[in-house]
Amino acid sequence: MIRKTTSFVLIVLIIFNFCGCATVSPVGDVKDTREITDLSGRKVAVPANPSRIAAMTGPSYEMVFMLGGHNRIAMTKSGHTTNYPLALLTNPDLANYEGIGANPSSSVNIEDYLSREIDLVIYYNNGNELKKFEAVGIPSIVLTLNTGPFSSVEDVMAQDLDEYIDSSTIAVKALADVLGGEAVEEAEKWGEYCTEKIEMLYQRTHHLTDDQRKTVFWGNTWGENILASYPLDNRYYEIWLCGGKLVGPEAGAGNFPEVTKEQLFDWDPDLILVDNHGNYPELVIKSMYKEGSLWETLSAVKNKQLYRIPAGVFFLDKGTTTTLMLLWLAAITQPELFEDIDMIEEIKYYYKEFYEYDLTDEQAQRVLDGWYERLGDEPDL
Amino acid sequence: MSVKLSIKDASFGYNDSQSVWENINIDVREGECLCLLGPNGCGKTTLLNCINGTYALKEGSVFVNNKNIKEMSIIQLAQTIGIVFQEHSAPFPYSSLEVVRMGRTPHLGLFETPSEEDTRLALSIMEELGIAHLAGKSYTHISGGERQLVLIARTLCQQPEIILFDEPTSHLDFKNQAMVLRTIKNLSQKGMTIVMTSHFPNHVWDIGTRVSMLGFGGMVVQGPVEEVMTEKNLSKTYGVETKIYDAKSGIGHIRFCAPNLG
Amino acid sequence: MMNTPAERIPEAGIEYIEKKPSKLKWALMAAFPIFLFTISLFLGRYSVPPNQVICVLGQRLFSLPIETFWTDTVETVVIRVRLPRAIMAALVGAGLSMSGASFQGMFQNPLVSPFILGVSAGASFGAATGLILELPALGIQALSFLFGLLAVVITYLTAHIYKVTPILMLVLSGMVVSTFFQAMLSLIKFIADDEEKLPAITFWLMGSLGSVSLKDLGIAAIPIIVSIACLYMVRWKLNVLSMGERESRALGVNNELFKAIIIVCTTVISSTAVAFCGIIGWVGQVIPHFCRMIVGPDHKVLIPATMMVGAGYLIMIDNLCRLLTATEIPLGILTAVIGAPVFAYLLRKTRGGWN
Repeated sequence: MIRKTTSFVLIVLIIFNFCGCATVSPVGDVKDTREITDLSGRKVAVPANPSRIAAMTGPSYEMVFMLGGHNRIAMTKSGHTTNYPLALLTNPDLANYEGIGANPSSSVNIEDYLSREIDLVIYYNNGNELKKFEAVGIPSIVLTLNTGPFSSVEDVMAQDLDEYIDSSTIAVKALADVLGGEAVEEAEKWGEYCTEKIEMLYQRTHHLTDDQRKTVFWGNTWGENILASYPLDNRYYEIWLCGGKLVGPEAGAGNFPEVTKEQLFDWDPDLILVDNHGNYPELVIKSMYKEGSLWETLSAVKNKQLYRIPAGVFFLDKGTTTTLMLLWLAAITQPELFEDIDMIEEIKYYYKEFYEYDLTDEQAQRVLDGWYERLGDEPDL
Repeated sequence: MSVKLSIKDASFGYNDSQSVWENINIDVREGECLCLLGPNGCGKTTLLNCINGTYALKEGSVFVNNKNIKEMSIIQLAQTIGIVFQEHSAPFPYSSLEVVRMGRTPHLGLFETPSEEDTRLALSIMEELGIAHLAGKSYTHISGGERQLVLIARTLCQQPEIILFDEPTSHLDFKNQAMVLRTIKNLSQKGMTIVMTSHFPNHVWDIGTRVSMLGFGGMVVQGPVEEVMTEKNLSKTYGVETKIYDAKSGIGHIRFCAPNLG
Repeated sequence: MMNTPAERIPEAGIEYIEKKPSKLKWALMAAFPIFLFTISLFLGRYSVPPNQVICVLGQRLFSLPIETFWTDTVETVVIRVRLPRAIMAALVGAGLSMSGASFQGMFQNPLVSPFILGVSAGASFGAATGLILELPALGIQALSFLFGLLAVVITYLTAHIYKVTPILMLVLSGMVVSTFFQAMLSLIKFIADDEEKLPAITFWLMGSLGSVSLKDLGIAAIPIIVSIACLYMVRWKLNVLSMGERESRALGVNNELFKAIIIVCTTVISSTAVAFCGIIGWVGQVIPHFCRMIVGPDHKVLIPATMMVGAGYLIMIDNLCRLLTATEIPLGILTAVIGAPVFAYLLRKTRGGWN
């Protein structure tokens, strides 16, 4: 009797299990799709007209926004819906978007995406998580180009200007291709803008010798730690374009290698850039300028040459605004060479042209100062 | 002679309902060597551990020099009573001298380390026991019998007034047994008060002055060796028919007992 | 009472029989950390001429009347970057090694690490909590220290039955508490979904002396030094304790008191070390084992030996961490990469320490 009941219960459970499986239907199998190759080399069948996009990587919201696709975003990384005042100003709808957490190593809860009927995900290059999207049929694309790995600084500098322009614009162009329609024209316009500005920079700086260049260190890439920097990547070329010379951990483990204190004293850079990615850049700068700070003997501290990377819709060094950031950087690195650059005007122009938004002068200045708010208390450094 | 060690109305148990043994009363006078006999599991070792205060009695008390051991500190107890455990190995390869010197612990303060004087004492004791040649050797590399002698030397370093031996000859071969028994006999003849448990009733005739036979639940019989070591008592204690044999040989009168194997 | 004819043993006899480490050995062992500490002050990615190093130290530390002829940066590098780091490396290296040796004696096992009672698991959890709550550095250090202590207190109370804490119970409780806090740490890592926090936690756990400042040193030095002094003073009793609790009690040792002293001292050292420097493993196990090969198992000489060799060892490894490349190599990684194979070699050589 008990055996019979047990078997009956087991069979019922098994049937229910299969029923559960059947309710998950792959999304988008009825829409038109076409195959593209994303920047990590994966072949993905993307919908012809994606309309419920999840822009989950840091820069991806801003990229979609610039290409005119913000009405097609259903979900973005949490934090983006609240921490960037200009993003909210330029797109009031942003506050209503769904925001969920995502980072390169976090675990995807696939039901979050299914329940919102996402038809395209822009995600990190994390194979295990991407598999989850594939398993339920949600197209996912990776827009980070694996530039390199470069083996040395010389390797980075060996590229010519066209190669650099290509590699720095490819992500936006690939995204435009996926979005289709107006986005493609927008990307063309944007590409021309970038090319023009970059060539201008190149013209004025490529003849500069090492002695004429200012040394630049890029710190605070994470952990409110000025010593955390970036590994060997295109930044070396970009700083060169701006008339500077980047010093950094040329060999580095991980995404944000940390240099030793002595190493920073040894380099004694003329300029130190303070990234937003490491949190509280304004507090990092304040603590470095404080009397009695460990860093008070650095030239950059004595000469007040600590600069926070600007931020508006997103951090200016990421997303589509890298060129704009280079203009800013060139102006502070080689002020005599770039006297004619008026950053307020440049920023206003960019916002008008590509975000279709009229910035006031005060707002543009706030972008330069880093217009970004984190919720919660600020730590005392 | 004064009563050195006195156990009064003692009982021991691991819980309230059952007792391992009860109504134990033993007096040991200064200079006596008391042998504690009894079958496996009757609680001889437990009784020793109660004497030196490691275990607490359920009822009754132990008195040393007429002082209740409950009123004595751990150090005072160690200065008065020494216990020689069965030989065993050590987790680290200390030298034998180092092991013997550990016996000076009850005479050292919280943060003190042994002095030259302590080392000299340890060495002289080892010499008296005939094991001075082992001083530099690793304790873990010597034979079982030698280790037992090292442990005896260690206890002697404590300069105790009473020494308890817990089955000192188990695990030892014939020669080592003899070495250890001879040492204990010497100690007894020099006037040390000794309580020794043993599996071997024959040892009683070798070195004992008094005998207590412990059975399951309590004392079977106790008293001077001559009186108590009878076939009847032995058979009753061990639960096996035992015979006692007298033998006259060139060196003298020897008695030994053996179970009747039928 | 035994007659103790101590006069019978000639003076020379004792020296001959007792194989104590020679004066040369002691000199070498003392020279090792002193030498490494000294040269650490002269070495660094920022090049400082040796005479300037000496003069800076002379003027600032010893108030010698030397006129300043060096730059501000030189003074900063020597006094605020190299000096605190070297001192901390010495203290942590000595402290962890002595803790390891003490625990190995107390637990009667030459393979035990100072983290066996859960202090590193608790401290890791505390630090991760501080990082995720975005507390300032002092808050993270405090939480880490407190949770390290808390973990050991829980272990101790769990193992405490009928007024005694048996060794076996301590080991088992330690395992349980460690597992619990490691699970909690995994939970924190899971919650830390920001791009910044998870790598911060991971990097912190790998251990580093890079962030040690003079202020940190001022706070951390005192508990470590006091605990080291305590462990040094009770070192001989460890011999007795290591023979087993039954025997040490019979020899008049108050087991509970000694276990408590040793646990408190080792926990303070380990908690402080982890709070300021992250997890630095493989020091507390390897150094005592190595020193036993040099000076023997007698804790009276072993403890001072581990103190000296441990201090020098960690200074040496930390120098590699800060000198090899422009980037800071996490200390915990190098101690593992170097320590584990050395430990394996020592294990084979000593056959697990059971000579």
